[in-house]
Amino acid sequence: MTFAFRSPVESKKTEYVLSELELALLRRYEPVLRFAQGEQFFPIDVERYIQRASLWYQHPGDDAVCLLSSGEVTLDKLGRVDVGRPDAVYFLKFTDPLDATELAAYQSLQKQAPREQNFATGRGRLARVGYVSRFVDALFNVALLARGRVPGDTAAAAALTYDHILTRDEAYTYHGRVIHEAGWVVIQYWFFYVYNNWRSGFFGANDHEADWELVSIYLSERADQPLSGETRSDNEPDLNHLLDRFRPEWIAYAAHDYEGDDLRRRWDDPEVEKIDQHPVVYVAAGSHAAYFRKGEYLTELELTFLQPLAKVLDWLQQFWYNQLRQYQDEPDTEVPEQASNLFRIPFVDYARGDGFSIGPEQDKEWDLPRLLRPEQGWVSGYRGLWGLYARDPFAGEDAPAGPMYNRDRTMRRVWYDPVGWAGLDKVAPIDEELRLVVSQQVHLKDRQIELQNAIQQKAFELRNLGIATRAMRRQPHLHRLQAEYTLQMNGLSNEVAKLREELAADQALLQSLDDYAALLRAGVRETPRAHIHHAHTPTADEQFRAGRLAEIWAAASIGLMLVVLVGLFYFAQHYLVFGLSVMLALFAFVEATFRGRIVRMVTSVTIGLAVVAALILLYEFFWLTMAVTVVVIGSYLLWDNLRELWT
Amino acid sequence: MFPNGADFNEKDLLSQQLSLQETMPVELRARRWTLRVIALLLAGQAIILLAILWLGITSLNWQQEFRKVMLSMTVRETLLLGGFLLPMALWGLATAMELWQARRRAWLRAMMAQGMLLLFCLSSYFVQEGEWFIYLLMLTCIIIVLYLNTYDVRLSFTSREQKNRIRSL
Repeated sequence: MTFAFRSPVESKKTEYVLSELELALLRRYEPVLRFAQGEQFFPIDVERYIQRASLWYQHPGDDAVCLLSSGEVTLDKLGRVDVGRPDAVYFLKFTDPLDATELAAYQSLQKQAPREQNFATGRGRLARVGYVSRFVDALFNVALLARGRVPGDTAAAAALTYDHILTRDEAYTYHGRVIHEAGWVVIQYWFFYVYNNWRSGFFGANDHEADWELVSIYLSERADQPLSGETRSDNEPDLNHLLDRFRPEWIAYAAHDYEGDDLRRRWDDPEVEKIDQHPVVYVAAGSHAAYFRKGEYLTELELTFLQPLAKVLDWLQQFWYNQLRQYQDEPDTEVPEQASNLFRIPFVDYARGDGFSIGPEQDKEWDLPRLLRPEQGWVSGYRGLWGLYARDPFAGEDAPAGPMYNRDRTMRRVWYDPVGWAGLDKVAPIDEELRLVVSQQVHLKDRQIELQNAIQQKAFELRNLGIATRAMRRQPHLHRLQAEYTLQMNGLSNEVAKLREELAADQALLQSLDDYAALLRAGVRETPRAHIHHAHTPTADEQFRAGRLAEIWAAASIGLMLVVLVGLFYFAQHYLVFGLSVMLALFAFVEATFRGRIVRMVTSVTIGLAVVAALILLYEFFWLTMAVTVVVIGSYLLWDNLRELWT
Repeated sequence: MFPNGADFNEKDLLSQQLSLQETMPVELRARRWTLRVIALLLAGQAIILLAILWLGITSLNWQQEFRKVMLSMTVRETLLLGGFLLPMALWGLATAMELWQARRRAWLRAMMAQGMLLLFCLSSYFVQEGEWFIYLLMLTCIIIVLYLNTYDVRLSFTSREQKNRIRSL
C-alpha cells in the first residue's frame, strides 16, 4: 500500500483522514514527561505564549525597536513580519524585568513553597572534575559578567507570568508533526517551554526565554497487515486498523545540540521505559533536555576556540600512553581522561524524574495536540528568535528560533532531515531490510557474471599479447612493436588484476549478505544497543568517591587560589615562584587527601618533575642530545644490517 | 574418543589447564625480571649518589679545614649535600633490596625517592648554578621514573583485583 503521506492529497476527505490519522498517531505514542523537583516551566501551547509576548527587531549597533506590543502579537502576524532589512534580528520578548516589590513578593512566595518541592543540588558538579576544568569554569563565569546575558530577574518574571497563564487555564500541550521520510513515518513531539532557567535555577550553562525540545518516534509500515477493513460500514476510515499498520522501531530524545546514532534507542531496548505504548522521558531541570533514564548527567560545554590547544594535548597524551607505554590510571572523575576534556566546562543536567509528571494517566494529562505544518506562517515564515535577544556572542543566552530554524536562520536538520538527525539514514525499516539485502544480492550476482565475462575476455587478450611479445623477442627489427605490445600487456594485466580484486571482494560481500539474510529470515536481529558508540549515562553513585569536604573544597579551591595568588603578589613578591609552588603542592595534596588519591598524586608530581628535568636537559645539552640520538640510531642500523649478514 | 578414553570436551579442558600452567610461570618470571631491573637501576643510582658524595668529600683539603676555627662554606655545603645524598642512597639501596625480594610496596618508595631527588636537582638548578652531577642525577631519575611508570611495570605492582579490573576495561 502506498500510504497517504507519500502522495499529495486533494480531496477533503483524504485531508480529513490525514490530519485525523496524524492526531491518532500522535496520541497513540504521546510521551510521559517526568520532571525533576523544582522545575517551574512545563510544555505550553505557543499561542498562549504569543498572547503575552511583544515582538521586537534590532539592527546591529542600534537599539531594539518594538514592532508589536504585548497583546497585539498573533501567530498569523508572526508569519508575515518583515521590516525590509535582512540584517535585522527579530525577537519576541515574553516579560519585562520585575520591580523591587514584585521581586520581593516572588521571593517570599518561593520561600513559602513546601521544602520537598524545592530543588537540592546534591553532589557538587565541580567535585566531579579536575582543577583545569574548574579554572575554565571560573573563567566562563567571569566572562558571563562581560558578555550579553539574560537579566537576573527575568526567570522570576517569566515564572510569575507563566503562573498567571496556568491559573487562567491549566493546560499542558505539545505540538506534533508527522512526516514520511526514507521509508519511515516520523512522529515528532515538540515541547515548548516559556523559559529555560538552567543557569539561574540549577547552576547550569545558560538562561533564555523560550525553549523548544523534541522527542521523535520512528515507525515503519507493516507489510504483513491486510488492507481489508480500512473503512467502516459508514464509509468512514477505520483509524484503529490504520494505526495498527505502523510499528514503532526507534525513538530519539533531543538533548542540547547532540545528534547522530547515540541519540536514538531501539523501541525494544530495555533502556526505553514505557507505560503501555507511551515512552517515558526524564526531563532535565531547567534545560529541559530529554533523557531515557532518570539520574544526573554530566554535560560538558565545549569551548571551540580552545580546540587547537586541546588537539595538541590529545596528541601528546597519545604519545605518552602509546609510544612511551606509560601507565594510565583508572579515571577518578566521570569524564573520560582525555586531554581535550580539560577545556570543557562541566554542568549537571538533573533529570531526576522525582517531580511532576505529564502524560496519559499521570499527574496531569496532555491537552489536545497542536499540529505543526510548514504551511503555517508562524512555523515557516518567522525566522526570528522566540524570546529575548541577549546579544551573547556564544549564543547560549539568546532565545532559540522556532521548530524549523536555527538561531542563524538556517533550517534545523531535525526539521528537514529527521531521519539523518538520529543517524537512521543508514538503517532500513525491519520489513524492508530483507528485501534490500536480497536486491543487493541480486545486483552483486549480476555484477559477478559481468566481471567473470570481462575477466575471461581480457585474460584471453592478455595471453595473446604475451604470446605475440614472446614471439617478437628474437626479431630485432620488431623491437618497437614489441615495446608497444609490452606496454599494452602491462596495462591489461593491471586491469585484469583489478577486476579479479573486485570479484574477490564482491564474493566476500555476497557471503556476508547470505549470512545476514539467513539471520534476518530466522528473525535474529542485532542487539538493540549495537549502534551506540558513546551512551550518555547518568552518574553512578560508586563513580563518585569524594565526600562532602571534597565538594566544599572543589567549590572553594579556585577562588581561594586566586586570593592566595594576589596575597603572594602583594606581600611576598620575592618568593612568588617558591610560594606558588608551595601553594600548588598544598592544594594538590589537600585534593588528593579528600579523594583518597595520595599515591596517584605522588606519581603525578614525580612525573611532572621528570618532564621539567627532561626539558632542562634538552635545553642545556641540545646538540649533545641530538648527537647521542643520531649515534644511537646509527648503531642500531649498523647492528641490524650486520646481523642480517651473519644469520 | 581419544586413546586414553577422554572425549573431546575433556581434552579441551586438559589443554586449557596445560596452557594455564604454561602461561602463569611466564607471567611470574616476567614480573620477577621487571622487579630486578628496577632494583638494579635503583642500586646503580645509589652507587652514583655515593660516588658523588665520595668525590665531594675527597676533593676537600680536610687537614687545612681542621686547622681553621670555623668550617668553610664549601665544607658546610658538602656536609649538607652529604646529609641529603647519604640517606637517599641508603633509601635507594633498601628499596632495591625490597624490590629484589618482590615486595609490592617498594614501588611507591622508589617513586617517592625519585620525586625527592628531582626536587633537589631542580631547586639546585634554579636557585644556584647547577653542579655537573645535577644533570647526571636528573638523567638517572628520568629513566627510572619513566620505567617505573610503564604499563607493564605498573601492572606487575597492582593487586590481582585491580589487574582484573584494568584488563576488563
